[in-house]
Amino acid sequence: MTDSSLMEVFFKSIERQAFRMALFACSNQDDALDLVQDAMCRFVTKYTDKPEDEWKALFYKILQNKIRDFYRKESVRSRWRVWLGGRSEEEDAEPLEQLADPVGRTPERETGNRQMFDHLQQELKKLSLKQQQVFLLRAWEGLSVSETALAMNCSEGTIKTHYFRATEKLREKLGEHWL
Amino acid sequence: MNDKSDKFTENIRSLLNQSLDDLDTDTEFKLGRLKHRALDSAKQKKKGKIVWGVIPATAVLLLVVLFNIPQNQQMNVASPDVFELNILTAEESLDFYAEDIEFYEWLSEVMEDELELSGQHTVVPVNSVSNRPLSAGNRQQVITQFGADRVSWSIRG
Repeated sequence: MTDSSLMEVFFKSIERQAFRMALFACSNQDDALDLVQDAMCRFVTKYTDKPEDEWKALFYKILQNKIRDFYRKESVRSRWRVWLGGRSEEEDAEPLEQLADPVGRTPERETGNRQMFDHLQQELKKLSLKQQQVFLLRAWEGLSVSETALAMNCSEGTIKTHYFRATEKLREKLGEHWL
Repeated sequence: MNDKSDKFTENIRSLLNQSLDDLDTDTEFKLGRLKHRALDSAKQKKKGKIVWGVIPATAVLLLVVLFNIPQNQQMNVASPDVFELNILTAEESLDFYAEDIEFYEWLSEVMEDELELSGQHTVVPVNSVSNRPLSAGNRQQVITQFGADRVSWSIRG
């Protein structure tokens, strides 16, 4: 198998999770796609020579950096918007209400699972960005503590703390549904 | 507590996995396209690297070729000058070559002419110097040497 096809298989295995994680972070489908594409391009040019078992953690490290950059840019943009005083009625509304449904289904067609997922999505969004991403990397992607620390660019102790707090908050909010 | 925690995270994981299956075809298509775009950009970068790598390699090759072209100029190897050796090993004193050589050359020519006129033509011994290919620079030296040989031969008989 050539490097290119190995890389393709790897991307195929993580692209949808990466998109979902980016979407949890930025709440916009196009932005999420851009973040995933930037991360893929960066990964291909920088880390192709690394061992395959390190690819996942390295890819999420890049994605997390891109998400952080996105947040910084967004905060600068929002400051400018406030300074210019151009807040529209739409922007004043609750941000979660503004979130477009990525699947594009009507409320009538939503199933019970769908409602649960929406609820989970809302609660994940209420977490801090670090807690949210640490929880997703550990609980969903199955990265170890050290791999998550590499991806998030912080110590293992910090990862454990963030994961614990994220789990506790989610359990508190969702417990009545899933425990 | 641990069992409960595992069950809780397991429930969340399965719900998140289900959400992947719910992705619409448009998003799936976009993801596939951006994946191929990323892979293509890597290939193009590799090609670019090869092109940029060829330029210095060609320059180095050109320099090597230019510096290794066989030179037509022969190296001047310091070889002992036979003429000087003859002077140093000759029986005559150095003053003979320094002062009177032109006179003796003239004298030898006159004597030779006289010998020819009288019909006693004798071959004058020729020094190995005269067999060398003559360059413009040492032609005068060879003529002088030749004259000295003839004088020397004439005097000694």
